[in-house]
Amino acid sequence: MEGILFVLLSVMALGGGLWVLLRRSPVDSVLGLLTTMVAIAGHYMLLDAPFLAAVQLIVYGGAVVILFMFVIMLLNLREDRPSARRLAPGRWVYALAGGIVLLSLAGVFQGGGAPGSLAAGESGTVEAFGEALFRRWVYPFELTSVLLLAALVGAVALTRQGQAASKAEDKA
Amino acid sequence: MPSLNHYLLLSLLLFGLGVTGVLIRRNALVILMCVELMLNAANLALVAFGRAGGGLDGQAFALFSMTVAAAEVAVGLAIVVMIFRHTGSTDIEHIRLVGGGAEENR
Repeated sequence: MEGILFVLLSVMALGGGLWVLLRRSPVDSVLGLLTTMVAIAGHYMLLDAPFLAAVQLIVYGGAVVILFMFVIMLLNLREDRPSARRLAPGRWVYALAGGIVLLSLAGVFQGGGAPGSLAAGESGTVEAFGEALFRRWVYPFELTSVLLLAALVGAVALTRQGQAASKAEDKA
Repeated sequence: MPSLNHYLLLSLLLFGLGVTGVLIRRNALVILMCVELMLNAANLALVAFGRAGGGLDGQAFALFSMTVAAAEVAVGLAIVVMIFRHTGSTDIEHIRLVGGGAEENR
């Protein structure tokens, strides 16, 4: 059962990834990304990490994908100029370079891959995970709030600044 | 029952897709999406390793990496919006700010 689910979710994840890569329209790419995110949430369930699966769905399937959609809507990329739809000029060379990265990473499996089996360990339920997060990882956890605040302020400042600049240009 | 190696292989393939996407696409938005693919591949590997090693440390790492990824997307998309306002395009070929290229490409 688990094996079948693994294969199904993997096909879904890789198919979504290919969709992101090959579709010319950014909206299609976002939908591919969503498919991959949902499939990876399923993988987290298989890996006994239900809390992380929920976070994956909320943060990636929800927030990140919607953010991408919003930006596409904002920039009106549906009628994108043909130039941004084209692939990079040296695409075959680059694709080859990507393939070489892939192959060199695959070298990991030369020696039989990583040892260790996925024996049933601690389950990442909300209770157990919260226990770990607020005991062992409490300082990094608190630090992420600073990071999020910085990103929030940064994103707002960046877009506001751009607006002010374009307004000044209009006046000039 | 999938083993650790199966998960690592999947993570590897997803990462490879992300790398290739970043290299061959020209739309800055799609490049950001491919970066997300790579981050997700790394997260999957972290969780799989954490499961193999026992304990919840791998999952905690993945959670923090998700936080960083969310922050990265917010700032990255803000930058893309800025670039679009400046050059009227999300094509990275049009972004040549050094040497005043942005003006020429209008």
